[in-house]
Amino acid sequence: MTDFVLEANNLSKWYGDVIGINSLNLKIPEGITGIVGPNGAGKSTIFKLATGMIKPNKGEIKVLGENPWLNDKIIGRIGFCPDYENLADYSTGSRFLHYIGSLHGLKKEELDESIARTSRLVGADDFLNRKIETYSKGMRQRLKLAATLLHDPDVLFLDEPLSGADPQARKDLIELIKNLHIERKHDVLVSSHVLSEIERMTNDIVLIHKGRVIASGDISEIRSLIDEHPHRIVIEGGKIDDLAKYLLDLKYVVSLSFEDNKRRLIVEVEKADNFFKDIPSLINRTGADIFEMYSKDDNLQAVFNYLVGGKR
Amino acid sequence: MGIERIEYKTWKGKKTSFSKRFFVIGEKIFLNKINSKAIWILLVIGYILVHVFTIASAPFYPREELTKELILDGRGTLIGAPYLKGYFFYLFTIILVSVVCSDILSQDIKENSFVLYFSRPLRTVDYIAGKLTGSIMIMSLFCALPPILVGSSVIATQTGNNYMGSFGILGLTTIAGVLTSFIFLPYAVLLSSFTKRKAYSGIGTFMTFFVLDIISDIFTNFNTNWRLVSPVNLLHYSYDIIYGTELPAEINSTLYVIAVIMLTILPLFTLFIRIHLKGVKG
Repeated sequence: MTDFVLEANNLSKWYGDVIGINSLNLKIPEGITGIVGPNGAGKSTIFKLATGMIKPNKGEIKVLGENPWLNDKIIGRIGFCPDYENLADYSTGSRFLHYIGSLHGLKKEELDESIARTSRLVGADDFLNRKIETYSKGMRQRLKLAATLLHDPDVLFLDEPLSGADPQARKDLIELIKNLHIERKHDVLVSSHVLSEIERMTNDIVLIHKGRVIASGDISEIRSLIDEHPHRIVIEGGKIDDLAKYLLDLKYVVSLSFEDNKRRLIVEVEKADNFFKDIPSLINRTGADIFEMYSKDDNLQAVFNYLVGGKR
Repeated sequence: MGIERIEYKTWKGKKTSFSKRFFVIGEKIFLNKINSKAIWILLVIGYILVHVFTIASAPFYPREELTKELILDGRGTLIGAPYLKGYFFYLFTIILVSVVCSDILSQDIKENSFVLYFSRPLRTVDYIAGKLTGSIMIMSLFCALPPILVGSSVIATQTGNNYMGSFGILGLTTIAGVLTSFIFLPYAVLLSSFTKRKAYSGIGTFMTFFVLDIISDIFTNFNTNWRLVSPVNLLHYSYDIIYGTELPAEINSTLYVIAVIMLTILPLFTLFIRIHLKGVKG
């Protein structure tokens, strides 16, 4: 028995001239692990390699200690929820699940039981008899999750499971994914291009960019790494001139600039946490009328820019 | 939504491969195709032009026994025109195979739905076998079922006592029908794996068979073995072999075997390689 759910050693996969995965080294432990990367980073390629759908050009990949390529035993222990929208629209959810369950070799009685169980678990039982073409994005995600769980896999690979779901569905799905590990002991590898979503599921993350792992470990360590770099914070509203004068006196403010006829102030700060702690009192003192305030760097691309060389 | 945490119990069934899994794919294809209007229209027209008169007239035109001449050449039927060896039968067979297989793989490529299959314990062979099984089931509705009905109705009304001989011919007719259902499929399925557009795949399949017929006609003047290039001739020679007739003396039997392999085994092998090794799945 291996301690790792997934191991990749010097793994490379290319499609013609395009590199999907580039000499990737990775060890995913038991529990929930998030793979975070922008679109095109190689997340889906990792899942395809891990489910034995495609063969690596170089290196090796192991799932639960074995190579998944042509390995029915291992593939049968994986539940894969692909980032794939073309479900059988003309069919009902129930028929779709019957089809997927049959592909896993489940017999009718156990399949019926499994469909009832998993659809109830993911909250899909209410719309299972409707045609898939009438489903919202959130419903489709739930249906795909039910299909993933039908054969009770040991390990779950979830490729962008929250994509397109509405806020309530996202919240529910995040809770569900956490519970699949906490209560059902499934090991979960979940991908997203939204860091905050993954943060709500797990602290263990792997950041990939252009087919390579650029950071992995506890998310707080990665956050600290990011916080060492200056942040750009945008403040939009009226009467922000006075606020700018006060900000200039603060040690951690590196620069200030106005945009949009002085209705937008861009502040570059070294200690973002200190800034966010101080800003409410400054706003009160100056009477600034703030519509919106956000960090320009609190997005995944900025995180990657920091990590791959400090470029903005 | 309401997450139910209590009732979810893990399934403890068998998680390894299931040998008849290809049949699940075949059944789905059959059900999808049988619900297609285009397939139904084609089947109705084909039945009217090829089968209906022969099936309907058989009981009213009793014969001593079922013969291969009746099934192949329509000898002794009300119409008297060739049946299995009739050109309309061949024509509708290649039209149907073109339509049935037009989206058989092209749709999976277009929608990238290989992931639905290959992220599960399913081999490339299972996938191809499933696609072929579903297609054969549909093709059989036109290529195998009607000749069997004709044979059965002739036996039911035959005047002679040689039922063994008649049932023997009925068995061979079933084999011939299944062969007709299958023989053009490998090439059509292969062509469907080259494109995302089902129109390209369908028209490409039909035109290939059509052009091969023309090429065969042109070059047969120089060498009679060129007849083997024509799918219709190849099919008719295969009928002869099934019904126990030797190939015509001017046809080289080795070339016949090679032609059959080129039409069936080679496309299947190429298809397997494309899906398995060249990453159509990726």
